[in-house]
Amino acid sequence: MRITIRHETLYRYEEEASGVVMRLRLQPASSNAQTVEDWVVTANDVPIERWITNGYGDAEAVWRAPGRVDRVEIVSQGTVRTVDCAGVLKPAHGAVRPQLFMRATPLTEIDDAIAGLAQRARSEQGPLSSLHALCKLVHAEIEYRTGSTTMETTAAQALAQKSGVCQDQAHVFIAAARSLMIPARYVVGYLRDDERPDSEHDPHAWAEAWVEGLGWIGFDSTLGLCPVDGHVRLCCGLDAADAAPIRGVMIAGGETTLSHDVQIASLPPEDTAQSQTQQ
Amino acid sequence: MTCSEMLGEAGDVRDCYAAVQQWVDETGIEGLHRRLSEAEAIFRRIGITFAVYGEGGDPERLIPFDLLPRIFTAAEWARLEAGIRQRAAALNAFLLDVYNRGEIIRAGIVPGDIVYQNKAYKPEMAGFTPPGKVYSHIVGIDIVRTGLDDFMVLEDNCRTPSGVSYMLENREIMTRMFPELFARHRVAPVDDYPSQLLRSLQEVGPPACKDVPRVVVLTPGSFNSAYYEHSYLADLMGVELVEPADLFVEDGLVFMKTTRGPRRVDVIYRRIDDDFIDPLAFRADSLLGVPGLFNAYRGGGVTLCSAPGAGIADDKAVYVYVPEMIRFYLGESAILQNVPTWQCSKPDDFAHVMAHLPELVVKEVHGSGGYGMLIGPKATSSEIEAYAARIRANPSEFIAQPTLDLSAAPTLGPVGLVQRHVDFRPFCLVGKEIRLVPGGLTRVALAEGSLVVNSSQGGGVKDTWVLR
Repeated sequence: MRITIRHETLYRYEEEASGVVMRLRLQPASSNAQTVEDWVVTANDVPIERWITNGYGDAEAVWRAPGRVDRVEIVSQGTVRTVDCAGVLKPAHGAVRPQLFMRATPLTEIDDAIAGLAQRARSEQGPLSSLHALCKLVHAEIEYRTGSTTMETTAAQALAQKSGVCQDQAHVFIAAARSLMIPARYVVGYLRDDERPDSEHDPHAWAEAWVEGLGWIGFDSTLGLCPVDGHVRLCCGLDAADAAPIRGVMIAGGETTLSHDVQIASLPPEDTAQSQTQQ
Repeated sequence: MTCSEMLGEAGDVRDCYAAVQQWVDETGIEGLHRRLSEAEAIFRRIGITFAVYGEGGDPERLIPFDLLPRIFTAAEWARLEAGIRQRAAALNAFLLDVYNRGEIIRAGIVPGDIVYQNKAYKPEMAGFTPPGKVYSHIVGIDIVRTGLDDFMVLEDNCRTPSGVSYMLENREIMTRMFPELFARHRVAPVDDYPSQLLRSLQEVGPPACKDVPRVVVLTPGSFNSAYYEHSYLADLMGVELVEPADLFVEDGLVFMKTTRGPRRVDVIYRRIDDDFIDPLAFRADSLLGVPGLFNAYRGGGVTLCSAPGAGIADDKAVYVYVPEMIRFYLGESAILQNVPTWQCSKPDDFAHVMAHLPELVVKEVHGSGGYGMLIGPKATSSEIEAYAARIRANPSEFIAQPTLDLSAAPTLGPVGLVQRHVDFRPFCLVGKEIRLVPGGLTRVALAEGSLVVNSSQGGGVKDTWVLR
C-alpha cells in the first residue's frame, strides 16, 4: 500500500512563550515493512533537517523556537510504501537490548488482574502463541471507547474498567506480556483505516514484543491482529509517555496555556503496480 | 585489633611517621591546637565550607580539618595506584559493554536484571559510544584499610565524585603553615590535578570540535552544597563556570551566552545529576537542565563528563561484580579486593544476613552518604528489628557487609593524639590515558570508635601524603 500522511500538531500560547524547545520523533524509518519515499517535518514552517538516531533506533530532533512565540505548528508530511510482514520487524530495530523492555513503568505496572489475563493467554506452544492469544484477549476484554480514559490512565485501571483507546489496549498488552517474561514495548504510528474518511484519522498506537529467534513482532490489540499494510511505524518506548513523538519545554510566562490539535489525512494508493513489484 | 596507620606490628612508630611524631613532640599539643585555630581561620576566610557529594548537611558548616597528615609509603602507593587505575579501566570497559552488546551479560557473569532493570541504566545511551570510549572521566574510589597490607574498595563513584578540592586545599594549607614539616619529607605533589583534569577533558572533545575543545564546568548553582568546589575547579583550570540557564542548544551544538555573544562549548564537566541535565531527555519536571543537551551529545556536538548513565557502574548491586569485570575485560586479577558482600536478593545471602544482623553493616542498594544504613554492632535491638522489617519487605534493595575494622590514624585530640578511623578517596582521571595524582582525600571519623567518616555524620578531613 502507498500511504500519504499529513500530521499537524498545533500549540497555542495565550501569552507569548519564551524558551520553547521541542524534541521531535516524527521521522519514520524504513524497514522491511515500510519504505519512506519522502518525508518532511517542519516547525513553524522551518524544515527540521538534523536528525539523530536514539537508543531505541528512532529518529530524534530538537527544535528551538527563535525568541518569543504565541504558537508552534509542527507539520510532518510524506509518503510511505508499506507491505504486510505479519508484524515481524527486520532488521531488529534499535541498539538497546530487548531485556530493557522488561522494565515496569507507572503506566504499565502489573497487578493481579493483568497477571491473571496473561496466564489465560499463556500457551504451551511457546511465547509466539501466547502473544497471539494475548493480542486477541486484550481486544476482546477492552472495549474501544473514545473518551473513557485519559493520557494518565494505567494499564491496571483500563483493564479494571474494561474500556479504553489504543493507548490503553497497548499498555495492557505490554504489561501482560512482561508478566509472561516477554519484553514488550509501546509503538506510536499511523493506521490507514479504509472505513474512515481520509480526514478522520488519529495517531495510532500498538505494541511490539520480543521473541527470541524472530525479533520484534508487532501486536495491535485494537484490531486484535498483527500490524498489516495499513500501519506506518514512527517510534517506540517503554510506554506511551516514554514513546511520546513530541515533548516540549518552555519558560513559563504568566498565564500560559497549551492546546493541541492533531489531524491526519491518509490517501489510498496511487501506484498499485509499482507497489506490487516491491513485494 | 584495629590496624594503626602510624604504628608497626610491634607498637613502634613506623618510619614513614617518624618525622611527624618528632614534629608533634617538638610542637606540643597546645602548640598544635594553636596552629589548628590558625588553619581553621584560613579555611573560613577562603570559604571552603561545603559538604562532600550526596552527603547533604549544612553547606555553610566548616568541615573539621585535622593537622596530622595521613601518610602512604611509596611502596603502598605503587600498589594502590595500580589497583585504582585497573579499576577505573574496568569500570569504563563495563559501561562501554552494557551500553552496546552487553557481552558480560551474555556470558552470564553479570545478571541482566541488575543492569537493565536499574534506574541508573539509561536506555537513551544505548548504541552510542562517547568520545574516546570514556564514560566516567573522574572515578572516585573509596578505599579502606583493615591491615598494614590489606586494602579494600568500599565503593566506586563514577558519576561526579566530589571532595578533590579538599585534597588541594588541605595540601596548600599544610605547606603554607608547616614548611619545616615538608622540608623533612619528600611528599609527592598533588597541585597539578587541575591541569591534568583539564587535559583529560580536552582529550574527549566531540566529533564536531576540530580545534582545542572549550571546556566549561556546569554547576546547578550557588545553593548547591558543592558549589565551592565547582567554582574552585573552574578557576584552577581557567575555564568558565556556567549554570544551565547560561547554555542553549542550537543546530546540534551547545553555546554559552556571554556579553560578547554566544560562544561554542565543546566539553561540559557537569556537576548535575543525570536526571536534571535535560528536561527533554530525562526528568521533564527538571527546572535545572539545558533542553536538547542530550540530543546534542548523542549527535556528536558536545561531550558530557561524566556520560549520562555512568552511574550503573557504581551501583551497589553491580559493585560485587567488579573483580569479575576486571578479569573479563582486562584478563587480570583484581589488585584491590572488594569488601565481602551479601546480596539480600539471593535467598542464601538473605538468610545469612537476617541471622547475623547484629554483626553486619547493611546498606540500601541505591543509598549514599551513610544515610539509611544499619551498623549492626552499634544498633539497639529495636533498631535492628525495624531494619529487618525493611529488608524483608524488599530484599533486593539491600546489601550487607561485615563490620570492617577500619584502620586508625593519629588525630589531634583535646589533650593529646588519639587514634581515629579513616578511609581514602583518590580521584582517577580518564581521558585518552588514565592519570592519577599521588594523593586523594582522607576522611576521618572524629568521634571515638566511630566508623562513619561522612562529613554529614561528624567526619573530618586530613591531608594525604604519598612519600617518594
